[in-house]
Amino acid sequence: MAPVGDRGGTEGCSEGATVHRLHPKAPERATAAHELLARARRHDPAAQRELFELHKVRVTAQIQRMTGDPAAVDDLVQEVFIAAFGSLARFRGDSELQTWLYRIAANKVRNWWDSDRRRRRREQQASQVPQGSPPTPHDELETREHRERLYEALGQLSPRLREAFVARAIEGMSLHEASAALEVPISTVSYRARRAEALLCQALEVFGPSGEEQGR
Amino acid sequence: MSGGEADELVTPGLRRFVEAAREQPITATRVTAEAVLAGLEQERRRTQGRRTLMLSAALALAASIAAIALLSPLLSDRKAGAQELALDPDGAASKVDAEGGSGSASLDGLAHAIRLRSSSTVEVRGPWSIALGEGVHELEVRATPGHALRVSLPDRELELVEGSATIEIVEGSAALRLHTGVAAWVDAGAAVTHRTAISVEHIEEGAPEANSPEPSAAVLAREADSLLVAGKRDEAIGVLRRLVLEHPHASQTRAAVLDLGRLLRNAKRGDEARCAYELYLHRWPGSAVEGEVHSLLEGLGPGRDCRGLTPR
Repeated sequence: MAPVGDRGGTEGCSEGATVHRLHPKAPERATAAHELLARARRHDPAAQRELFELHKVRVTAQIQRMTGDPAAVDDLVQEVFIAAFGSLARFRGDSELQTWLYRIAANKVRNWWDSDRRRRRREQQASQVPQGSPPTPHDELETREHRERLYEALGQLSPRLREAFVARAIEGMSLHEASAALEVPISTVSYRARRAEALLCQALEVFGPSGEEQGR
Repeated sequence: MSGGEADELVTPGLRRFVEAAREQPITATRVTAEAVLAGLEQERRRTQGRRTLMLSAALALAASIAAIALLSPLLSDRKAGAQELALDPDGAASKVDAEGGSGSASLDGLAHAIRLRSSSTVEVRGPWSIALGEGVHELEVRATPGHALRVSLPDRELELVEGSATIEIVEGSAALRLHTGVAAWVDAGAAVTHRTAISVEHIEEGAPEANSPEPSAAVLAREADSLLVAGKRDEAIGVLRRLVLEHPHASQTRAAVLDLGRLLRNAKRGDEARCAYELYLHRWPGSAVEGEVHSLLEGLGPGRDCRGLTPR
């Protein structure tokens, strides 16, 4: 699959998806990655450390985009890597390691959305924001409010719709990338993302794909 | 994905919300590798504790079963020919009940000719006839002159003359993979029993009813989706191939060809993956993902020529 989330900060680059381009050093890199993985599978702590360092930024970003809650990220990152290293022997290498990690993270986030932990965090945030906060520029306040409302609405969607929408709209994956990351056919990703979009328009009472105001 | 593609997805009304989510800065994680490794060690200890507990429980269960087996000849008042066999070496409870009847073969004979590993209940309906419930069943049948094992599945009947097969039954639908041997679907409803031979290693999904129409592209796409969700990649590849070949002009075909390419690539079936991508470029030139498909092809490298989806 295309490297998921490899385009940090490059959203908008529609030209030249650099997926699987051959590179003179590519075989050596592949061998090194393979060896690193093999060592990590044998519970070599140094290799596990190295894998963690290699993938932590991507996993952190994914979790934050999926939850919208920076305070939840650390716990989930740790859970993802513990689960991944604990079951590395079952990683068959059919997909890339980062795709596999993506799916583990998606599952952890799925549990998080269903947990009381999330509700408590949201309540805590809501009670903390108004008093004692430094004066916030209007734009920033509005952005934060939009973000809060979006994630609140995302929490009402089914996990499958939510994951497809986050992958496509917020993480900015192509249909191809989202299809590989979520391990469902392209047509399904497309359908789920659009369905999520329609439901979000309804929940947020904005104009939907048909141009009609939703939420009636 | 390109910003343009994202905007295509997000309707204008929703865009400001999505932008707000995208603009949220990503905070660096404070989790360290050491913390992860410490957590991993803790998790290992917990798992080991659970395993020890389960092993003790399994040993206790095995002891109970052994005791029952020793005592059962004394306690059982069941008539001759009716037995209960646990055929599952993995320990899953595989119950095989025989219905005693005139002319029925003894279960001993059946057990000699058949090896069965099953994750759920199996009902023995008579001599050389069993019915399988939901779950995964692995069958091996030794050739026995004049006999074939009749297997009742929720949606159809199978006859296994000899060989080995894996049958998975999920929500009333069976999928069969014949590894070796000779087998056929049986349509006993008609005046004359009709048999359709099954190819070895061919995945048969759904009952091939004589008068039923071929499944539509939408049905096949859904089936492939379900198979993928269930982690059955090879089966999904088979269904997608069928979709592409039988419904070349359906709206689902384009996405199916791309999915097929991806799945084949992941399955390390490079030549076939290349054929799928080449077919895509040939049939839908100038598409939005053309560049991406070219890159994927480049990654696969050169290989055999293709005739449609098949490498020559």
